[in-house]
Amino acid sequence: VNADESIIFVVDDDPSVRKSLGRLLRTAGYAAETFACVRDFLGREHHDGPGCLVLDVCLPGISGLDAVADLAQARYYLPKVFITGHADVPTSVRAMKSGAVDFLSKPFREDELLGAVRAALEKEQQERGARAELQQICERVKSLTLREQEVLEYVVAGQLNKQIAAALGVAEKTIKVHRARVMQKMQAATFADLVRMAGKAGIPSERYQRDRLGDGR
Amino acid sequence: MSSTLGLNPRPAADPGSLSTSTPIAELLDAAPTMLYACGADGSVAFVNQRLREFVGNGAESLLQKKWTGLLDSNDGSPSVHMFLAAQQARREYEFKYRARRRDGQLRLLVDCGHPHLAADGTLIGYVGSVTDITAHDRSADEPAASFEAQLLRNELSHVTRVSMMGELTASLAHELNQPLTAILSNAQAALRMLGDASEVPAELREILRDIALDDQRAGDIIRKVRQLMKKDPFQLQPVDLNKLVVDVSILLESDVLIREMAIERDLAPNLPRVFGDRIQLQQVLLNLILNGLDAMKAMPNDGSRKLIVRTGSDGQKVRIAVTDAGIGLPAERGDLIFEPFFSTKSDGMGMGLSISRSILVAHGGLIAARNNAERGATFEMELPVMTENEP
Repeated sequence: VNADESIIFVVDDDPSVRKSLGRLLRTAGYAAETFACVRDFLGREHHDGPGCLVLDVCLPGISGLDAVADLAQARYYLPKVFITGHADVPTSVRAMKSGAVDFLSKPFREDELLGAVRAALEKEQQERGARAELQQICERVKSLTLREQEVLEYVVAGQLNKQIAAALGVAEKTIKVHRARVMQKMQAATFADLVRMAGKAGIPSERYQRDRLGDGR
Repeated sequence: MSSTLGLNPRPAADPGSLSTSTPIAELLDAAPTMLYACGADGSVAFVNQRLREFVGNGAESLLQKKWTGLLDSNDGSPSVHMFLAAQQARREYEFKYRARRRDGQLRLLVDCGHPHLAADGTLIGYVGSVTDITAHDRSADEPAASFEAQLLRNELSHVTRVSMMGELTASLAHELNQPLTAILSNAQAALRMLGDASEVPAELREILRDIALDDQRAGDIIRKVRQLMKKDPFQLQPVDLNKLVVDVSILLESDVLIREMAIERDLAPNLPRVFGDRIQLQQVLLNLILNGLDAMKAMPNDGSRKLIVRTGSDGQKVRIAVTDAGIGLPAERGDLIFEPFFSTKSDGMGMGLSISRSILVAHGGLIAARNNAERGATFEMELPVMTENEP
């Protein structure tokens, strides 16, 4: 990921605070944008690139904490650093539970803020990598034919070729061919690799597991 | 018969009615409470100096009439009838009622009457005392309405002061932390911008560093003050909200009388208990009721200045709703009423509802306000029902 594409979004209703935080982040080499409230931020063109949010907990309208759901709905997966001038234990617990990277009490030193931002960007990069991998796996699964998808479900559920052939009413040789195509299209080097990738994409699905149990009876 | 008891209101004019009449009558006049005596038929034979002072010019007219207290004509309870019935039954009685003092102020009185019986049991008459128990402008040497109510009042005002300080410090800390954050970040951003450029005077960097250090010092002071002002830990116990309503409305009895208003209680039977700090919850309710009374101040005194306190529960939550018939919530800024320093009263600090909300949130409850369909507003506090694993 190109670090130059990272943007730090500061959301704080106090004009002096957001101006100074924007300055500090920019002098530290980051691209920073500031907003008075979450709605303003959501009004901006959607940012798909890397970055993180520095969010005040107490914002007018929707608070920073309550905004977490709105952000998710707007497909924003950016890690959050919460800042507050009014730290109390329940709020900080709620913030950390909501998946915040850090929770800083105002006034904080630059090393606290920059450290939290660095950690948030690292987390974002990791999550972005995981999301990209998942997307790749899903695309590979989509490239399978319907029959191949079916075979994949049975295979990762631990069924033998013979059992799959019986279940689908085809020859065992045909299953072997399907299986090879699945390995190839999924770019799986080993069976374990296939199972790992399938697991990330939610395969075997619950429906197949249920059917399998039904067969077992 | 009645002449043996007939203490003359003007003892000097008729010194012979009691063998030691003059000193006793003087003694009675000197008593710091209002005293009266009446005959077996209830006709008033004597009122002491204090009582005459209370009534003023009308004092003479009390004599020869039947004693039915100093009842204000507007006040229905207790009735004249209750006095006469008690006297007829030769019972002791104690009635609480309000009466207008000669200066026009309404006072809350307790009237105690004792039957005076002859050796053979026949009724000679009644002797009685009337005590002004109005809490309003009561001076320290006057007797308290009730020791418990007074204790509760003291306790509450202490808690109110403490939570007021706590809330004030928290708000102040919040307000100050914003500019402190900006100052610190600006100073540190400036230091970064200067970098290690050699043409910059060394002292400029030092100035910026000093600003940053002093800013942090100010931040530390605020943090310490906040820690110092942290509220006392909760004294958690099972609380019956019906009893809470009764306690608080008794506490406010004289206030309500003086304001010529009324509190009506509508208490749900078998109300589940909640787990909380009794004094703090009392403080919230007291605050809501006083707000409601204040809101009705400007309304005409036509009998509609009534505040209703209602309790209820759905099995999960217990609610107390305080409905007034006052001026209602501000039309536009209704969402701000729970914010600190927001007040619609000219003499309000704007801390009451803010503290109330803090207390309820800390109890896992909430507080809400709405305008009534007709007039006035309703404030509702909600608390979770006490669970079994709470002692």
